[in-house]
Amino acid sequence: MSITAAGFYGLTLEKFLNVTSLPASGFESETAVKVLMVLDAETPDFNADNFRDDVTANEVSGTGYSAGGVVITSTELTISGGVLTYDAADAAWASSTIANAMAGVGYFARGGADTADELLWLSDFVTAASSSGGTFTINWAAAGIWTVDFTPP
Amino acid sequence: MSRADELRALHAAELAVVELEDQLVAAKAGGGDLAVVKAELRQAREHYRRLRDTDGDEPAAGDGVARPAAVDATGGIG
Repeated sequence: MSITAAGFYGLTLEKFLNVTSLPASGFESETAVKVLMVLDAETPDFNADNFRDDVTANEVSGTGYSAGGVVITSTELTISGGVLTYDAADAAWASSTIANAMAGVGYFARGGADTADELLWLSDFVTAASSSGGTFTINWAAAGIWTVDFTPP
Repeated sequence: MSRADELRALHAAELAVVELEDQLVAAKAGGGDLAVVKAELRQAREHYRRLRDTDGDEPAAGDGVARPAAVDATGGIG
């Protein structure tokens, strides 16, 4: 028997994440995916939150940090072993003083109002992190920023 | 492995990531095999970050570091 598991075809899923209707062609854009940081006061609603204005009230602030966060670069979607992985270079804020950042929120930056910027994911820091006149860095995990197992057991 | 060897391995792994990130930019612009570069970069990043995350060095004074786990979005689609 050759068929041993059900699954979603990963390359098609990858194409959905890079369709031209998304900013700069999608997740692998080098200009349109940004990450901002929020405080622990943020209560994400993954069912209802859809645009950046849903999180801006709890965005961190401080020296060296501009509202909206930073563009992430060297973005890539890769497929291996039935898992789609999204990754990028670490995000950093140099010479910054940022207090109690609790999560990073990825979104599509369309260049206008925050009501048009689609939310993508939230990375939980678990422990609040701060910088004081230094560099604040989000060290993405070895396994990537996010993964989708499209051939689950 | 001595501390010096550990640092050499860490820096070599970081350098490999940086070089592949340059290749990724070129490949996205049509200057290479994008699928191959992406796969190599994914492996290089995973290797470097595992070394970095077990290195034990504390951030320099004033620096802040967040280390989020990868988001498993499998259950969030559908």
